[in-house]
Amino acid sequence: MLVYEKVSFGSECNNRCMTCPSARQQETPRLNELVAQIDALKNGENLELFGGEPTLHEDLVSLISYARKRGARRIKLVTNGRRLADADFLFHLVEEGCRIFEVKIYGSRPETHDAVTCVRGSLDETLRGLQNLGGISDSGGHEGDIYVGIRFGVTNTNLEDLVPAVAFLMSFSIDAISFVRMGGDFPIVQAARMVANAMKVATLNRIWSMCEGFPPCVMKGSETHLSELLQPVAFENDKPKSCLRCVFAKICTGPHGDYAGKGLRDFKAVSASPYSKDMEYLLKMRSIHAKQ
Amino acid sequence: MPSNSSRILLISFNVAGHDSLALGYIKAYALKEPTVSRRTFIEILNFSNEEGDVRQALYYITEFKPQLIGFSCYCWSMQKILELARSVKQIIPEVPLVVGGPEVGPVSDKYLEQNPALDVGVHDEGEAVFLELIKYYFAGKGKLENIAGISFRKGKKIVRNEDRSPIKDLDEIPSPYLTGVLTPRDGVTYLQSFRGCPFRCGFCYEAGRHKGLRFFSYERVQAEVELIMADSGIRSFHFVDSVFNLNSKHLKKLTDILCTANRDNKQLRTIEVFAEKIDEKTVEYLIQAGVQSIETGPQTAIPETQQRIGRYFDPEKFSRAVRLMGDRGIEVWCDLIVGLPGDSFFRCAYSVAFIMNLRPARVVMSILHVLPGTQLFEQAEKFGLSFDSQPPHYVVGSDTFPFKQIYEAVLFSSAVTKEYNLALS
Ligand code: SF4
Ligand code: SF4
Repeated sequence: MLVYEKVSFGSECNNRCMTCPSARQQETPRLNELVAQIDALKNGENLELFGGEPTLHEDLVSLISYARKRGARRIKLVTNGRRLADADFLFHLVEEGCRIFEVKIYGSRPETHDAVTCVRGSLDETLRGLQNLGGISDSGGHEGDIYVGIRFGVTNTNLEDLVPAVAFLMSFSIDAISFVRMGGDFPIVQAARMVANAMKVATLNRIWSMCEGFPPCVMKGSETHLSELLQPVAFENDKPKSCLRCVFAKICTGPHGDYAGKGLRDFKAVSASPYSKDMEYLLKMRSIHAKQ
Repeated sequence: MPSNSSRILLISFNVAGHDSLALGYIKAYALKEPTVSRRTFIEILNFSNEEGDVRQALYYITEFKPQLIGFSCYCWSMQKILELARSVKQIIPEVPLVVGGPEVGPVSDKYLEQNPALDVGVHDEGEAVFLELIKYYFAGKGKLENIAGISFRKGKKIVRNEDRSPIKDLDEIPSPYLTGVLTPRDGVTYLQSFRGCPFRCGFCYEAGRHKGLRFFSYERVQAEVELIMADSGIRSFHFVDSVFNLNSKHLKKLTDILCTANRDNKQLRTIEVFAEKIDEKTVEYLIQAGVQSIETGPQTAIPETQQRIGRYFDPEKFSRAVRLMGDRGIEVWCDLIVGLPGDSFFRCAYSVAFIMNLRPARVVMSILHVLPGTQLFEQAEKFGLSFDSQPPHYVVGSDTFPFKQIYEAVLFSSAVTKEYNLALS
């Protein structure tokens, strides 16, 4: 819902995820280059620090305090959470002004998580990081609280682990979970069903959940959780013709590039939806986000 | 407490650390009567609603040995009060238990019928009624049948007396602060310059009450303000007025009082304002008055819903006002209610986006309570509105907003408002 401006820390990382979007090697920016990125932002109000893995950068803490001094009001760290296993380091980040964390996870067991990160022991460290975040949340010491979101990468190797993983994650202090489809090398309908079930478990436990990369036609019954309807995401206009007959045509981002050329049988135009009467407001919401 | 005094206990469960202003008024009004002040000891007991335990209150009651107990009831505290009243009746059945306040007023007969522990229910404003009850119980004066504004238990029957007109001249109610009934404390001192509200919001108890507004005199407000300003321990205080910027004349008068008295920059916090009426001049007044933060709607940004709940909403004027105040350094808190009839999950999500786009200091989300005495309560059927008949009366669904969507909208808005409100200062 909140729009963040991005600050890139390059591609350096202590995981080697098979699904890594920053596969292309990027130089690790020096502090002055990071500062230049912040100086060049349009608003500088909401910042998302991403990599690679920003926590490996030796100037992360100084950058957070620079951003804060420059007027940033929300600083979000997208991280694999491993370095947060060091409680003193985490404490430092929070103290300097980083209050919003998005921790990337691929499973509840090393067989699923470490298999994607390609680093043995990475899940263990990430979970210790989550535990430390929970400690800060519960103490409420830092001007009240922190926000912890989970970014759960959905791959062809962890579909069966989605429901158990959500159930497992409920014992940590988390505020929301996003299921993000990584790649298109699995049947979308089956994956959508698994994601929908996992989101139900989260809802049942009073945790907000969303999914990304699953259009409404494959997520019937879970439309309220579709990130693309709620968040500002790039709009793909090269949707297949069949989409034009769909009630979601104006707001759906389409079946996504990963599935192009693989047959689009699974993406069937939706002829009626209980949400069609909300279309006017979904469009208005999109234009609000676009303006920001 | 003189040993021959009659003992009265007034009890309220509030937000932690707060005193009940309503009970302060009731006590101050009762003590105005010399016979009461001479022979009666009235104690106000404030418990935290979140942490206060019924057994704790029960222990206090057994120690204090009251001869009359009054409870100030809100939707959030009613269940606790009923539990307490049941236990009190077991231990000291002879002590009359009186309930009043917004939760009880409009449906006092129902509360008496369903809860044998309760003896008297107050229909509306409590000051004059409670004084008469004190006289009846302790001086044996009059009959319960003749006290307007109450319902009471008579044998197996519930008798409903006629309603009582509200006190016309509010200055008849002594100030709880000036009389020492309440001690002003930092951050939790609430003043009031008038009672009533000119608006008719369908979810609000205040809207359905009395036609017309009643004012405390400016001299009285000034004296209260002076008292607070002279207290070096107080850094911030509040007004509970339904609309602080009621009209420019009233606002100017309050501003003059506050501005003249405020010699060491005390902050006036979270006053309620009608945003659509705010312009540059109003903001200037607010700043002069020492207003640090304000709270305002829009509750929803959907015009159809606004219409259904009887609120005036102009998105442009509203947005302009929020920005105007924000630009001048006033902290703006915007309120959002989840579950209003006419809304739906995505309409609610749109309202969140609309509000956040205005960059207020804080977004305050709450779930609709369908409160007795409100238009939504009275006309629930018209909106296909279903809700829990027991307090806190949470909405369960409406013709446009089924429960599944309400539940999801609550989770969604709680998560995004938490993220939003974590803004660094
Ligand atoms: S059919 Fe096309 S437009 Fe409709 S929901 Fe599916 S991908 Fe989106
Ligand atoms: S919500 Fe506020 S403005 Fe509306 S009727 Fe109630 S007190 Fe008046």
